[in-house]
Amino acid sequence: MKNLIAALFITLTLGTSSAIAHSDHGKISPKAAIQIATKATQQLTFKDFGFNVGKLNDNWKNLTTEDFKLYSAEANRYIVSANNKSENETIYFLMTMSGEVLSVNSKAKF
Amino acid sequence: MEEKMQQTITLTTAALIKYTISSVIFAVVILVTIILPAEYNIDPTGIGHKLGLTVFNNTKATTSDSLSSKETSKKSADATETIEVVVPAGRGVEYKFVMAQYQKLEYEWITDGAALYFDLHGEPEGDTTGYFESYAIATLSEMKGSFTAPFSGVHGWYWKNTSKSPVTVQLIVKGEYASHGLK
Repeated sequence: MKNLIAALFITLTLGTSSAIAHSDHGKISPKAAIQIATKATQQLTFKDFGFNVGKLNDNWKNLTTEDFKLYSAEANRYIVSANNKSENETIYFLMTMSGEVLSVNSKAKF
Repeated sequence: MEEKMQQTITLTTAALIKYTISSVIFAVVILVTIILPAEYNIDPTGIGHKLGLTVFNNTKATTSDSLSSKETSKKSADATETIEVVVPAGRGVEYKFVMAQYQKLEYEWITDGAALYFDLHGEPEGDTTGYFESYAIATLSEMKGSFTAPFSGVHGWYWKNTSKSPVTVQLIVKGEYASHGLK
């Protein structure tokens, strides 16, 4: 029995080290969230993805990285804002911690 | 008559502690010499480098040093570029990037309508035989991914539109390349 416990402990110890090595996969940084929102804005100027904001005007193509901000980071989601100065309008991207865009609207309430 | 003897193996608490400590030490050694160099390019012992485990993390730096063409260094690897390509009805279009060996390109493309047949491939620089290597072939309306050029040359997409209406592709790229355009 003790041999079995010892073998199990050794296996778990070795298994844990490889699990630690992969523990960060799937979770993006706030910087990456902003990059995803930047790319999503370009795509929303191309076609309507069924989000609340519909298809964006061409002048949204001119936004730079400085126009995107991390609005909030909660337990399991990011909200990134995109400010279009020329139209005086801001839209908000709700995304999961893995970077999947779930919703886009102009009120930051999801 | 053969006497059968029963042997009893007893694992004492001291032995259990000894095995536990040795397994922890073994795990730490593996973590420091193999996992950290391979996953995070953290190699305090130098063993990871000698075993070739840091090669993937060093690819970018090595490539930049060995480039013969100066123009590739002008391009910022962090800059994102958005390109729109119109694929006429019933026609095929090739859009390619000039890349040196081991340069990497991240991409994401979507169409404004129908799915397109595509062949993401590369053609070696200076080759006149017509040889090309395909990296992905499918019929899709969107795709996201990345590739590392296996050789210097032109790398990109052949899109074929089998529908009766023109289809526009929006291609967003980030990576290292000298130039790009329709071929």
